[in-house]
Amino acid sequence: MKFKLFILIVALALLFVPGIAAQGTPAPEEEEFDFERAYQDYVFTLDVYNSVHADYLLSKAQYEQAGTLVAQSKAQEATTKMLETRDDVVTTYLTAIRMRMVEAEGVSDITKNGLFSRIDSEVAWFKDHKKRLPSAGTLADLQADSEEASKRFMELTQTVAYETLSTIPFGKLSLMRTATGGILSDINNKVFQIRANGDKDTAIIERWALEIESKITRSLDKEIEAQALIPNFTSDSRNRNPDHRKTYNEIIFKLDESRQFLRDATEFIEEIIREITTV
Amino acid sequence: MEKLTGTLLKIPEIVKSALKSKKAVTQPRLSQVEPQQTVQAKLGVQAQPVVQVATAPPPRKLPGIKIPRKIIIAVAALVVILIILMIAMKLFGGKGTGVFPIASPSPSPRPTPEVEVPSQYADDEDVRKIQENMEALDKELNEAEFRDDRLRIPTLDWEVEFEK
Repeated sequence: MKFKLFILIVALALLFVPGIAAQGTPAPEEEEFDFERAYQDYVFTLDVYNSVHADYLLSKAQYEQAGTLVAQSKAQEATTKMLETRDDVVTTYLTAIRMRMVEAEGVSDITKNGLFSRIDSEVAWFKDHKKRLPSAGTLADLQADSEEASKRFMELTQTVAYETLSTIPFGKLSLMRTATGGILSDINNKVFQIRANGDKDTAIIERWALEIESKITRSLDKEIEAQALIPNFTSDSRNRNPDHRKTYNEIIFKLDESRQFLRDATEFIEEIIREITTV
Repeated sequence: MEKLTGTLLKIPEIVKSALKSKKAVTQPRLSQVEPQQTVQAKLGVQAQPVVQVATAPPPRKLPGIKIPRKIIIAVAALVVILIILMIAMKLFGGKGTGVFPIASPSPSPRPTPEVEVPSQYADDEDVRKIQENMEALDKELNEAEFRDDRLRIPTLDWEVEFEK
């Protein structure tokens, strides 16, 4: 009896100890999914697409030349594979820009969340589209599926992608302008101290400080001009061939102009520092 | 200086006298050398050329060229005057030995670096903090990239058509 009890206890121990041991050991850390990881996925998928697209072109040419059922079947298979990979490229690309926005600084959470919801919607659509592709029975069906994806990409997906790419630099510029304003504020405080001490003429320094403020204001004006161009992405998308690239380039150009005003302001700040630190 | 001038002025007369005196020519003329006779004609008599030493022929003048004496004197005087002028330039004209000096480039005035005297705020902690913030901002302004080329919209084939 005692022996049987002993065997039972040993058996129960063998059952539960591994489980307890597993709980004690920490689980292996999952690889952190950041922008770099998402970008690598996108690049890999794009390479796969390029390879599959080449096969599709070959199969298509063979079918159009031969017109046999075998060629048609091969063409259908290659086209399906190409369309699936194309959808993968779009989803991995949208994921990459989403992660880029997650790591962007200076952009408000409201703006980010608005863009995230639109990106997620596009990703979900293309994933669903990919699932429906194998059900296509003919080449004509695949052609229709492709046109559907093309329309979606041109009207909505491209728009949200460009809006996201345009919003990220606004955050950077906003932070730099805030930093410039902070430095100017510190200088004004110091100049006030020096004027109170009366041991240095601060007239010229105060004039330069006004110039700096003017430069910062001009920088902000340029940023507002750039921001006014973002709605053009949505209005352009209604055109058959929207030129989002042109609008994007115009926005970046205006942001560069805004940054130049901040550079001018920093040059004045350096002059002020030199004036303060020398006799 | 006057002695030198006198000596130089005598040069044309010296040249004239040199032109007048001519040395005798002792070289025999070929036309006066008798040809050597043949051995058959003389039969053993050793024929030797007979050389006659002729007297110095009269000085030959170049045909057609006749330089008047006045011109010679004038040219010689001109040469003398030129030599005098050259000597005078060397003595009184200026320094140098006839070689034209090359103008050396004048040194451009270099701005003297301003000596910055530090003020009582040079070591101020607030100012130092402002300087550090400025350097960080400057670096950010220069390095920030607004355009991300890695995330350009992918170029995909959206035209899928099959010709029957």
